[in-house]
Amino acid sequence: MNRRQVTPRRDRSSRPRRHWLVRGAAFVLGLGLVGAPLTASAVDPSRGTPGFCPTEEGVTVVIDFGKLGGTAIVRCAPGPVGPGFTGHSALVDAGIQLQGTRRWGEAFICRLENRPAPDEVIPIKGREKYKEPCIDTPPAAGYWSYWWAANGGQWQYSQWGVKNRNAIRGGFEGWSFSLNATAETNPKPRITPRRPNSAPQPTNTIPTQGPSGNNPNEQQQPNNNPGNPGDQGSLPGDTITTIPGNSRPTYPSGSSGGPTQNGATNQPSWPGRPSTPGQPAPTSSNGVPQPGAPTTLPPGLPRDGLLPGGEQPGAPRPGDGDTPTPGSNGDIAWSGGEPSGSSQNVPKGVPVSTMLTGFAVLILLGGAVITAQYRQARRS
Amino acid sequence: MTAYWLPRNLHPAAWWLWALGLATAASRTTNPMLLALILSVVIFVVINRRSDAPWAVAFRLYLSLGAFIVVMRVVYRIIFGGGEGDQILFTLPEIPLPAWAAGIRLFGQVTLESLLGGAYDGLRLATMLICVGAANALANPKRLLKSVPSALYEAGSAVVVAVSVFPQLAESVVRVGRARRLRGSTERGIRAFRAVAIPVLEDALDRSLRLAAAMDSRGYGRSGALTGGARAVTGALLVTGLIGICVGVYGVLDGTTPRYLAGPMLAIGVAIAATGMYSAGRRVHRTMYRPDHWRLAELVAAGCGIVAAIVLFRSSSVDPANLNPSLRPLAWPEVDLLPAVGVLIALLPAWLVPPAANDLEEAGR
Repeated sequence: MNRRQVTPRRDRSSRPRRHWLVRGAAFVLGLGLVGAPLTASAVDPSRGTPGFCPTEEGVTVVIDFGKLGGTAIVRCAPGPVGPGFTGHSALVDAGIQLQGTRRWGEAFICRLENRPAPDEVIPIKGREKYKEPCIDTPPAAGYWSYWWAANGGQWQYSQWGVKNRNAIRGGFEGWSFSLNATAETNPKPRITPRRPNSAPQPTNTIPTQGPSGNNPNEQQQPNNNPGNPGDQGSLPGDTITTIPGNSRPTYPSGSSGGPTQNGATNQPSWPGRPSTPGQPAPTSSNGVPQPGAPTTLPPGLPRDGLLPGGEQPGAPRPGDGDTPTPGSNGDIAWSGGEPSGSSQNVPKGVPVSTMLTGFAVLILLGGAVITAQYRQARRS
Repeated sequence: MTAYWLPRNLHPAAWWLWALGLATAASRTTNPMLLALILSVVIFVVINRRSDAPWAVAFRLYLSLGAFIVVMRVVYRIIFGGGEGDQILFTLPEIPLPAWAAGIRLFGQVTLESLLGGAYDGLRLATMLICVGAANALANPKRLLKSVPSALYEAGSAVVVAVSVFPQLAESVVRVGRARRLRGSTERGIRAFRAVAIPVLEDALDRSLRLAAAMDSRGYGRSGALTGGARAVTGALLVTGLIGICVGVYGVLDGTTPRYLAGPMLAIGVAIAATGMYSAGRRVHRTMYRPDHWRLAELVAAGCGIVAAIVLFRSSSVDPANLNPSLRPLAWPEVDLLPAVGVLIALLPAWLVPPAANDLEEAGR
C-alpha cells in the first residue's frame, strides 16, 4: 500500500527538472517562454483523516466525481464543529483541494481535487467541447452539486451556499458532479451517509445503477435550489442515462470525436508536457481500480480512457489512496495514506517563463518611460 | 517606401481594431504575467505612437483608473473575502454578524490567495479598460466620427459622443490643472478638487452646447427628402442589427456564453445592420473634407491587434491551465510560448507604423 503512494510522488519530483531543461533549451533557442501546466490533484494529508469519521466529533466529506469518472473520496474533517464551521470549513479541514471561481472566490466551488481540470472536456448539453475555466459561475449543466446528510439519514440538496451552511456534527457533507442533470435528477453522492461504527449494520453499499437521483424512492425532496445560481437553467426532458460499468457512452461522441478542433486536447502537442499517449496509465499500480474488477465503483469511467494524454501518467488521480473499496460485507475498506499534496505547496523558486515575462514587462516599461522623457524634453 | 514613414495620423479605426484585439486577448486570461505583458505592450505603443494632443496626454488617467479598479478588488477581498487559502498574511479583528447574514464575513484572516484572486480579476478588467484608453489616446475621437459610414451618422454620432466623454473630461482636467498651476495655486486635497471640478463641469456644458451648435449647422439630424415610413424601416433595421452585433460580440468575447449566441448571432446582426445601412445610405449623400485613408500602415496596426486576439483564442483551447493560473495550491503564474508571442506581435506597431503627426492643426480641434 505504501509503495503505491510513493511512486507518484517520485514521478512528480522528477517532472519539474525535466520541465526546466525543456524550458532552458527553448530559451537558448530563442523560443522564449515555455511553461508547463501544473497538474494539481491531491488531497492534503496534513489535514483530516481518510475514510469516515470515527466519532461524533467530525464531519465526513464525500466527493463523488460521478460522470467525470474516477472514484469517490471519503475523508473526515475532525472538527470541532461549532457555529462557524461551514461546509467550506469541512472541505478545507478534510484536506480536499478546492478551487472557487475567479468571480465569486471560494463561495462557489468550481473544482474539487482539480476536477474538472482546466483542459478536461465536459460534454454538457449543447456545448460538447466545454472546458471549465472557473472564471465565472459554472453552467447549470455541469457543476458540483452540494449535499448534506445527518448520520444514517438521506442526502439532501443544500439550499444554501457552501459558506452559508453550518455543517452538522457527526454528519455528512456531500459533493457530486452534476452533468446534464435537471433539478429533479441531480445525482446524489453514491455513498451512503452512515458512519461504519455508528450502527450495528453498516450499509456502506454503493448502488450499482447510475445516479441515485433516478430512483424515485430515494428522492426525498425536489432539488429546487434557489440558493444555487448554477441551478437555474434546468433542462426539462434531459435525463441522465444510467451508466453500466465502464461503458463509454457516458460521454457523447463530442468528447472523443472531432480531432480537428479538439485534437489538441487529446494529443500532447505543446512543449514541456510529458505524456505518453500510447502507454496506458498505470491504473492498477496507482490504486485506481481496474475496469471490471470487483472493487470498481460503478461509474468509474477512468479518465485515461476519456482523455488520452490529458493527464500525466503516474500523476496521482483524485481519490488515490482514498478509494473506497467495498469489502466482504459491503463495508468500505480504506487503503491508508494518500499521495502527498504538500510538495505542490513548497515553493520551488520562480519558473523560468514567469521570470522571462517579468523581464519583458520591465524592459517594455523602462523603454516606455525613457521614450516619454525623451519626448517631454524635445517638446519643451 | 520613404513615404510610408512620413509622420501622419493613422485611420482611427485602425487603432481601435488594434486596441480591441488586445482587449479581447486580455479578456481570455487571468494570468497576471500575461496581463502585465499586454499592459506593457499597450503602454509602450501608446508612448511611442501617440501625438501630443490633449486626449493623448490623458492616457495616464486611464492608467490611474485601472490601478483604482485593482485596488478596489483587493480591498473588497480584504473586507469580505475571509478564510480562503492557507497563506495568512495578517489577521484583522473579525466583526461578528447575526445568523441571517451567514456566509458574509467581515475582515478576519486575510490570505494571500484571496488577495491574489482579487488582484488577478481586477487586473483583467483594468487591462481591458486601459486598452480602450489606448485607442482613445492613439486615435482622435472626432476623426473617428468622420470615418463612420454615412448611413450610420445618427447612431455613430451618439457612440462617438459617448466614447469621447472620458477623453474630453480628461482633457478638461489637464487644462484646468495647468491653468491653476500658472496662477500659482498650491491647494491640495478637497479644496483643490472643488477648484477643479466646477470649471471642468462648466467646460463640459460649454463644450456640449458648442458641439450641438456645430452639428446643427452641419446638417446633422436632418431627415432630408425621406418619407417617415422609410426612415422607420431603416431605423428598425439598424437598431435590430446593432443589438444583434452587440450580443454576438459579447458572446465571442465571453468564452462562457453559449456558442449559438456568438458566431451565428454576430453574423445575423451584421447582415441585418448591413441591410439597414444599405437602405439608409442609398438616400443619404454627404461629402467629406480631408478623409482618412486606409493604407498599408493601417493594415499593419489593425492586423497586429487582431492576430494577438486570435492567438489567445487558440491557446485557450490548447492549454487553458496557464491562462488561469491556480491559486490553490498557490502556484507561480507560468506563461506559455504561444500566448506570449501572440501578445508581443501587438508590440510591432511601435516600430512598423509611421509616427503621429504633431502639427498644430492636427493637435487642435
